[in-house]
Amino acid sequence: MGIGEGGKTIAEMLEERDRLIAETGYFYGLKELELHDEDPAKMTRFNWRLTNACITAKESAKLLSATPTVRTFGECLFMLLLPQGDCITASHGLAGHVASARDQIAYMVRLGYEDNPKIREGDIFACNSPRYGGGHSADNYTYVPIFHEGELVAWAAGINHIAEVGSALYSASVPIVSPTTYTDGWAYPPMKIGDGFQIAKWWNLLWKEKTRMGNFNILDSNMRVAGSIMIHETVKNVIEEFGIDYFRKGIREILERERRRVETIVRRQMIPGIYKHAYWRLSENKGQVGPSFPFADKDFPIHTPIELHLTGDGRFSIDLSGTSREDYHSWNAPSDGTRRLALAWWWLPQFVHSICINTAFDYLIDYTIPEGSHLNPTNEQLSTSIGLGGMATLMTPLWNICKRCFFSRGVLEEDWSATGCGGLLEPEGVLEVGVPWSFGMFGAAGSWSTDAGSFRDGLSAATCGFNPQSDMGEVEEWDLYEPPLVCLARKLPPNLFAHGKFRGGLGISWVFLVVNAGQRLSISFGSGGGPRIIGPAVGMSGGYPGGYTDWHVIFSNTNALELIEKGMGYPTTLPEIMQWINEGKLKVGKIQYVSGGMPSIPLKDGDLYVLSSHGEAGWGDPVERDLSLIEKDLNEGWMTPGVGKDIYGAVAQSVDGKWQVDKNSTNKEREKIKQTRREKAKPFKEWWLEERELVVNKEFKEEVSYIYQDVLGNAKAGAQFRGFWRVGEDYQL
Amino acid sequence: MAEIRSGELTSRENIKLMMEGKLNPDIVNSLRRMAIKEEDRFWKYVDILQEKTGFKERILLRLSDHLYIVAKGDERIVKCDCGYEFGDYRINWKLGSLVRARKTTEEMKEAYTFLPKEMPHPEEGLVEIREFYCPGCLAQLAVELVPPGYPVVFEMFPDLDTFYRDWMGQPLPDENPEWFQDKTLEEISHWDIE
Amino acid sequence: MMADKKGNRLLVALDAGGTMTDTFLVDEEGLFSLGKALTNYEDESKSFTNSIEDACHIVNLQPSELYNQAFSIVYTGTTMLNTLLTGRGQKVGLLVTRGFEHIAQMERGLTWLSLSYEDTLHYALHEHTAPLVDVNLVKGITERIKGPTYYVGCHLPADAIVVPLSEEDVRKSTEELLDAGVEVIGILFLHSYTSAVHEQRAAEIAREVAQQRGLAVPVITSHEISQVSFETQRCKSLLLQCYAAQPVARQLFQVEEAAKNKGYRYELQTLLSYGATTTVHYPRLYETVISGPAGGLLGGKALLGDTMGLKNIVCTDLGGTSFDIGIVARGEIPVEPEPAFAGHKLNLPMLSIDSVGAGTGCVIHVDEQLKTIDLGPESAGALIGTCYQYPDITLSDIDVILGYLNPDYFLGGAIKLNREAALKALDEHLAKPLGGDLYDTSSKVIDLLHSQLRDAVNSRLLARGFNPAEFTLISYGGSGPLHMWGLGDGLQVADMVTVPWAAAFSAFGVCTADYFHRYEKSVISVVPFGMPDEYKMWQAEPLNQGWEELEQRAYEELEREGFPRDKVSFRYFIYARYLGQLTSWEAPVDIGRVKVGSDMDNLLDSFERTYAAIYPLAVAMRDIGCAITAVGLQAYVDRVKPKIRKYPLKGKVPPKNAHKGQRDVYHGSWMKFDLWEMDLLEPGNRVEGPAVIEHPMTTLVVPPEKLIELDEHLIIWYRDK
Repeated sequence: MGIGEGGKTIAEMLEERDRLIAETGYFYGLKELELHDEDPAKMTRFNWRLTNACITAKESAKLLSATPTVRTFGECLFMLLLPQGDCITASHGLAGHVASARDQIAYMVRLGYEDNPKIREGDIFACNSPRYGGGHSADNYTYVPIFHEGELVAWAAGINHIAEVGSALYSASVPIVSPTTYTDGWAYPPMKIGDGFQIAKWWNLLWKEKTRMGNFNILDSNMRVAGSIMIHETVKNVIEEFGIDYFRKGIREILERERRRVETIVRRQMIPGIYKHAYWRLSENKGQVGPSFPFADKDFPIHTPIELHLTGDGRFSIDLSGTSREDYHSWNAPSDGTRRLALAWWWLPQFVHSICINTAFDYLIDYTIPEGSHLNPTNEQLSTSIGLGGMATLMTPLWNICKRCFFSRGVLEEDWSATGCGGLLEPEGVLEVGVPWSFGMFGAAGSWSTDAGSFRDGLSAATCGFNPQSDMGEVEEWDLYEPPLVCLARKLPPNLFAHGKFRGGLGISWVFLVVNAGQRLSISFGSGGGPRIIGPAVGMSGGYPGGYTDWHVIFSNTNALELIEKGMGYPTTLPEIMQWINEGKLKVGKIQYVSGGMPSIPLKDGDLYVLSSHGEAGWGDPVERDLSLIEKDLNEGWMTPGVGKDIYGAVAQSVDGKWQVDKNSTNKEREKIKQTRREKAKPFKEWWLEERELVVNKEFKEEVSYIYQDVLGNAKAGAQFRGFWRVGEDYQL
Repeated sequence: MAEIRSGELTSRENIKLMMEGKLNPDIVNSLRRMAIKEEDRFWKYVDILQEKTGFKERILLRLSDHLYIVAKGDERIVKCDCGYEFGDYRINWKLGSLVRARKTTEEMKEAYTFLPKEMPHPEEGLVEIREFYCPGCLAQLAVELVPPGYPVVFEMFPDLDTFYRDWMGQPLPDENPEWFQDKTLEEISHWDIE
Repeated sequence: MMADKKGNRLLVALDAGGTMTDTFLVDEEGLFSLGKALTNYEDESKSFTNSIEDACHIVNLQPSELYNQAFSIVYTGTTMLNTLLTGRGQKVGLLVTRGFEHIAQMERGLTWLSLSYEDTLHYALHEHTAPLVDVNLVKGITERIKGPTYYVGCHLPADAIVVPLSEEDVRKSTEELLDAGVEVIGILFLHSYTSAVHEQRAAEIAREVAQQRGLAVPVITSHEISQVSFETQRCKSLLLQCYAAQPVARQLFQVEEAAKNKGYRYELQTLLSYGATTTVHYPRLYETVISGPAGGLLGGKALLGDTMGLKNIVCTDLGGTSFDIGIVARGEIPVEPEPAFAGHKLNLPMLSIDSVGAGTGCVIHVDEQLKTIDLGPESAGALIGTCYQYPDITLSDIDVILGYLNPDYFLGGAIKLNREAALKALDEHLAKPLGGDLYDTSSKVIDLLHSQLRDAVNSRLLARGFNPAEFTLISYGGSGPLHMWGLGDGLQVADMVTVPWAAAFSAFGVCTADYFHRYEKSVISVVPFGMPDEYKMWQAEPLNQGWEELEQRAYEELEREGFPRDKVSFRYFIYARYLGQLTSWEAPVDIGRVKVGSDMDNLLDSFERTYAAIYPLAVAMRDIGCAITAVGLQAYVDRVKPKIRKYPLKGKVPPKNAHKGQRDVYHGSWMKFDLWEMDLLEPGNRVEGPAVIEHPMTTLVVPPEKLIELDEHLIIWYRDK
């Protein structure tokens, strides 16, 4: 006798769901939406009640949290799930997690949790491991089963990004350098952490033992449980009001209705066809992991080519043939939940603008990922500490595929996309008096600028791609938690965008000064992008690609504190710093440039640290940019006249302190730019012949060669590569 | 916003103004708030584009600011709004373009002003920027950022027959399964490599 | 109602809304009258006098008599919102800590503020609110103060100067701003809530520079506006004051002048966002933002709390565009410290009011294919619906066709509604697409609205850990009584009431406000578990200093308003949290000074009581330790408030002339509802449903299973038969 509907086990219900979908194409085989058809208003009311339960839970529970990530940044989510794990509806917040909870429930069911440890009313379950459907160990999930007369009818769930995960190599919530699963920190499979609606005491002790910020993590755990119990209570009332039969049927109908809604939107806004993009990054472990991990002591280029086939029946079929192999870095994505979560970040902002964010759209997506690649690894000893990161980087190409389609369909208004992915600044240290501290600063992740659209510039500091209620927080708040890092500036320096007829939003730059570092201070940076490259973030229609992720410059052994003491002030942007150095005013011992994720770097008093997001992607040919927009950029200080001339061909003069662009000389200048294009460019075939020589002679850097080895090792991707360069079947690297 | 009727909201005039970046932002937001867009948007759009380009050929699909797939005789070709024809749309149009690859860090920096000049990224040999120009009007049509030796990306290959028949309910007169076959590699296979 | 009495002293309050300006006029004996006039944005003194005259007209009072007899007029205007919406504020110059020049452009990335749930998920709709200052008029000033740390005593003190102020920067930048012709200069430096020395010095210099040029450009510093941390919010508050306070003052002075010209002898008063009255010469007029909805909440507290002795009240205001909910819990109205206003997030204490985008003017969207119905977010506003001048179907159209609303008695007949047009539009755009019966489907859409309203009330109560059964709900606003039956259907509150003056209830509430000022100041005081008493005293120092400073400030400001020190009394509060948390909770405390270590424990006990009341599920966590993050006080002076009159009770049976006949109403099925004229009902009367009780300004629906009773205060109790 199972705990599911009519005495079925949840495992049987899971099988039933999948069978019905496979047989009919409708969620749970719901060809008719009977409750909707019978009384649409009642159904809407039912739906609202459930959504409202999740929003209320989030809004009140989040105040209990300890981490600024939750309170200020809203990095949490509350959900209502089917007994099988599908998300029915959810609150605001970290929306993508609707897709991963389903997989975690499925793991519990398939592992036989119904028998041992048993699922009962009042139980509390938790999980954060990517091997069991989690995103990365920073994202912690809590589940409270909802029973009605002995039957499991739904789950309430809460999730949030915690402050610190107890990684072996350094303090962080997103440890970017972690070679194996044993250095990942505190990652746990689904476990029962309490009953009778109470958390077991050992659970809190574990947090204290296993993580550096135990108290913060305990408060967060309380928050997730409190919110889930609130949902539990409300849902009980809803069942009482509508009846259990209505509830059971209604929650499935919501999923099928939303699936149809999205399918309709896809058909109205997209174009069937095949779309391709490339994405790669470096994972930099060389010199970081020490002699204990010789097999991981190298830089890993991770490449993910994407081919999306949007079929005539409205399905998205994603083929990742040629993706880089699994390896001893932190980007391996070991479960369906990890992968689906990242894909949800793509489709939610593009297609789901209703009161329900749920898993319905997931049923329109298939993917093929080669086994043994980092997105489908087989080696269980590999690190998964940024499991969701590998697929998450596909957001940018996928968003742009949507945008391309919307443009071709004339649905220009839906032109949203972003190429930046701000990460987390994670300092730690010991203050002068011996007090240890660490922190995860979400300000850089909290708001990205956006790409240009087909009729407008990108916005600066606009939103965060994976959290629709994003927030950069306040410097006065961050200051509180990182005493030696004094934030001297947070602004939008000029020229910090990718160019186009419409320009991308400006990157956001922070400058920190180290004051009273204490006994020890170091910073690291967890990010979606890799070092040494600028990620290939898509530019559209001839606009330049933006940069994915962030860049950092660290100035050590400076005389900044002396300058301040002498009343000479401080620089607020990188160009200013460089100018001060050139003028001989600022003395600097060493400059370190880092792009993307940054391993632990020690800092001392007087060091300056610049953290900046890249500029965002442009749209269209820069020399077609409207002169009035250029004038505006010059006059508001977003662009310097030199860049205006070099890139846009705009010839500007300052008249009474106002920049004016001269039309005639600009036209001439633009003609010159076109002539330069003609001189520098080659007819494609000519270029191809030259380039082919490089390929034939295998003149690749080691990292690039690493990428192509995996491409060539894949039947489909290899054939494409060899066919394009005509290098023959036996071509290998 | 309150005064806008849904019929007027999606008028041809509004869509045209939006394309030109001149539509009142409040009205653009009202268009965004239409969860499901009106059925005939595509036809309005193509009609506006037909007028804007002045093409004699029927526009089948707009690919980018300048590029269109048009029906020319019994062919479907990619054509720039300057009039330059790239040929069969089943071959990646980039094969017919002028290409400039920025390979050195210095060259890449010229285009990437958002990176500090002093920064050793993007790294030579690790990535390159490829710019594709129209041989007719020298407009910059696309930019790629890829490692050296990366096959040129065929970004969008639409399934036109399926689109017109199944999604728009107006099949194209020359339907043929052959139209949805990527011919890029076949084209390259004819090139003289000596 | 007010009798025709001459010579009585009068209290007058006006609440100007987006469409109408309401007047509530009451004499010493508690007899009252209502007035309404269309709000005149260009010159509010016109709508002010029109609305007052309307109220006079009803009770046969000459306006000149009113102005003569009034000893207090409180007016809440619309200028603040209107100035923002029309972008017609002052030309502002801003001096800001160097490195933060783009603070107004970036506005913390909160581009989703004021968006609905669906719109928040729709990234393409995320846009910045237009900044209140031109980026070229923001000048960076070299200076930096450290600010407090979570690791108290382990790093530099909170007021440590990391970068000394560059006076040269201030001089040069002020010159540049004045050259550019700014009308006002704001100064925002980081952490000025901890140490204002840099802001103060910069202001001195800037004033000096302006003076040398003979310019009367005001210089306003952020710590004068708010002494609470979070620079973007403080900056927004400062900018609001710089940008809009002057236009607000201009309008309020104009209104005051109009009143004085007509014989009013005192200073005009206005309402602050935290529910206090003050004179219109108050220095921080930006604090008058969204005081309108606050009025109703104060009214609910005065009527049900102070008069009836109820401690727990839910105040609900249903209008055309929104449904506002305010809660009075244990006799107190909670204050929201970081409210959002017109897309700006502020550092400003504001009576906690939740607004839901659901009103009777909401447009009904129907998706034929998916069989879904969405309400709003657009609203027809004063155009009502297809029954009047709006092109799309709204909930008001349904109210008309189902017979709840009398098409010939809207605003007492001043506006005629077209039932036929509504019928046609609803049939075409609602019933046909959904394939149902017109009346049945329409009534279910009304159910939807009701469900949203109920959820809104329930979730506000439950989210704060309150039991709805301990609350009495009062319903007001133009549409409140019309939909009270649906709101109450299934809501587990103790009682539901409304009043005959429901349509001008906010104005009534404004009239009942206390006269006080509220001040708060951020501090950091950390008390780990088991801290010895002498350390506690050390931690208490910033608290005592803070209160001392705020008291002095209160005395000075109230003195300027004409109140000597001995007339001022204080109520103290703290903001506290458990260590590690980022939200602080306001807790009232009995003392304004910590004298011994155990006083500190008393403060924390107050905090824990507040916390446990809000989060019954959360375990008290004293062993984690606590932090006090702000101290504050409210400085009160006496103000005469309207008396809630007690009328002699008449019989249960209403007078014959109050009955106006019957009307067909679709309420599940077609049935006859009795029609009554509200103003002709008498205290003690009982009306049994099915009934519709009409008033020129509102309509009260009583379904068949319900009845209403008027008590001796004219409160209408809505009860089961």
